[in-house]
Amino acid sequence: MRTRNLLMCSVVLLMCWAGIGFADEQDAFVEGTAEVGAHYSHFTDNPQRVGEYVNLDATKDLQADMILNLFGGTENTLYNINLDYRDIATKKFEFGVNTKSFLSADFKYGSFVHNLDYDTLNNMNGKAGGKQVYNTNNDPMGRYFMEYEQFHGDVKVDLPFLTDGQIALGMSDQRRSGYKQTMTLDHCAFCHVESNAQRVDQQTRIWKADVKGTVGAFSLNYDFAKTDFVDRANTPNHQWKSARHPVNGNPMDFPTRQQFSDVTLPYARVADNDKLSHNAGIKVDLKRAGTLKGSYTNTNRRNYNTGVESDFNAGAFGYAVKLSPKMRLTGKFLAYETKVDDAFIDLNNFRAGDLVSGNLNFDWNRISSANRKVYQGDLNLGWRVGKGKHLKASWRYQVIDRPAMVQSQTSYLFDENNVGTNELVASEAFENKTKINRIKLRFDSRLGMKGNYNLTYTFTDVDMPFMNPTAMCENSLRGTDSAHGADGRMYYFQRQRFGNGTNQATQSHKATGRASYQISPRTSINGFLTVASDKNNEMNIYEYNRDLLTPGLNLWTAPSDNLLFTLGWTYNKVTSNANMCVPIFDG
Amino acid sequence: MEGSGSELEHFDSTSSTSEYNNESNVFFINANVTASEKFTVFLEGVYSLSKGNFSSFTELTPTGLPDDANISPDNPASTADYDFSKINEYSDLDYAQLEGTLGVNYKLDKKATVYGSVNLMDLQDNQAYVYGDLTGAIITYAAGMTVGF
Repeated sequence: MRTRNLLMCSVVLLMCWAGIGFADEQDAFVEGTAEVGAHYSHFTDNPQRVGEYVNLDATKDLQADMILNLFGGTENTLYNINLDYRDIATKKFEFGVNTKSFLSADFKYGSFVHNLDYDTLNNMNGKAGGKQVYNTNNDPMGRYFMEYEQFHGDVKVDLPFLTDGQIALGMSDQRRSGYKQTMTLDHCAFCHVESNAQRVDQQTRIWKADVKGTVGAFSLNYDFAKTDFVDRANTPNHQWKSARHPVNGNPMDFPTRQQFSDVTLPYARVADNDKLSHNAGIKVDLKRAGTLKGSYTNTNRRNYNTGVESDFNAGAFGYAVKLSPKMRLTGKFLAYETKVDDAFIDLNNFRAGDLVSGNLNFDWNRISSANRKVYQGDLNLGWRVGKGKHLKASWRYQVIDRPAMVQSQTSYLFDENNVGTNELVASEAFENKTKINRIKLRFDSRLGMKGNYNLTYTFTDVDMPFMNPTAMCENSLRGTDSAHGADGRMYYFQRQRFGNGTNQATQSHKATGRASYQISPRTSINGFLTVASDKNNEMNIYEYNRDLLTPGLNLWTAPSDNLLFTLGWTYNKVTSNANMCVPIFDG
Repeated sequence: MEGSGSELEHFDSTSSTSEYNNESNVFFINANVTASEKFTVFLEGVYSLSKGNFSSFTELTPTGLPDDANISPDNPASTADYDFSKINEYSDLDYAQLEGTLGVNYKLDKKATVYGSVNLMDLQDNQAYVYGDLTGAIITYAAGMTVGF
């Protein structure tokens, strides 16, 4: 029992109850609530999931509670203090002050525990040493958790020489510490999975500075932010055993088909990184002619472990105008590009000792799958069609150009026109641009004086959605085949997968209805229904479908002055499908 | 595994499309009963049932491969008599979860109230997955005093 904490809380509570001097000055005031108590928790069976955000170290022990909500001020200054203490790892504190003249400041601190899952590995219990997967659990008691702590503070200073002028400085500091489960996988000759506890000691700091102001018809803003992330925990190491041939166990025959063997290497390394971002915006008030908006954002990220950098550049432009007293039109255009440095993948030559059909060089230049150029245009029309009735129609057109799709769609196979040589030729890639058309309609209306409802329908048509092309299902190569190298052998990299897979739709319909109604002064009801149907019938081996049904109903009633009930029900049903291909080998 | 020359032994792949069904029901209640000028009882509860499962992969049958075909050159006893009829059941999920608080407040005077409550969090895991049986419960008893000023 945290006796000292409880005693301190009790003193504060007694002071509040007795009304002891919080507001001695003339014109000063203070009001709020203070709560002091204690709680005791205990658990049965496995508390990790049911108590996902419960500090299990604080269970089976009496804990002091304290909540303080305080709001006060003087003629020129307002302040608030909020404290919520549950146990040493679960607490919140907020302080805010706002002067009438030019300065305001807010500070927040919070901490909590997140219990993590523990994979028992019981599904990988084959025979050790054979061609079956088996495991070694080096932390069989496995209790994994993160302790989160976050501090956030910002100070805002008004700039009196500018309309709405203000400078804001802010800082956030988030820490994650605890243990997580990490695994290593040895070469396939062993299929040996090992589980370990890994220490986590991560810190993310964000520094921000914003300035804004208006001069005449022009409003300008500039935001700067710097984020850095560091993991101070030691990166674990694992010794990978000497690779052996999976069939005959020969240790001399296999290492040239591996990138490492009989070596100790780090694993589950978390890269330290930082991010620098700038954002500038402008808004021009054209009076009756409407409003113009524009913005530009640049962000640079650096990975300190690999040296890889990425840049994000975005520009946006918008225009809004009243076409009539009942109709408003807005148009927006957005373009952005994410570009990550290419990474050269330097691989050992495949079967380096086999100078007849081996010694193949598979080095390649990896294009990041995060790379993309996106162009997006939006038109929105709002129309008041009658008293209490509004109609909104919007259209979005988006193009996403992903250069990595070309690479992922490319296979390298022996040249069928030069059978018997080791020349590799690239297959032809598909289109790598995704084009999206989306139409959305929404109607809002009153239900007399006691209710309202709205209906929304969205149709989305996607040309070439993101997918994993040639990712599954293989052609039979039993018997003879010409697609092999100089010695007629068939290797893993030659296996020609042909099936495309994705969970992205080419066509999507979604309809939602919501309504609320006051049945009587003591009873009201609201409900909603969402129905959606997605499909992709442009793949080559199966049709993807996803159907969604989500109704919900809520009832609020106060049958008498002494009784108050709120009841609710939500149902959610999602049916989707996926294709599975199992390769059948000769052992 | 690779074969050689004119005796390639990569048999094929076999595929099946399976449906994944995910279903949940969530009920909640919030009740406040003012038993007297000084005494109130409150109840908050959320009960949820959620399930997830694949339909059968029984269409997974290798084409052009006899059931008695030998599939491993170093194990003559191995055959291609695959059985995929149970694999869809492995990842079934079935949870029932209840979280509820029952409490009382008693007003000492206009500014001060004492309270007491019991909170139950209960999870019933009816289909243990890779994380083992997650069935568990946490009960919390709390009491204290609130003062307004």
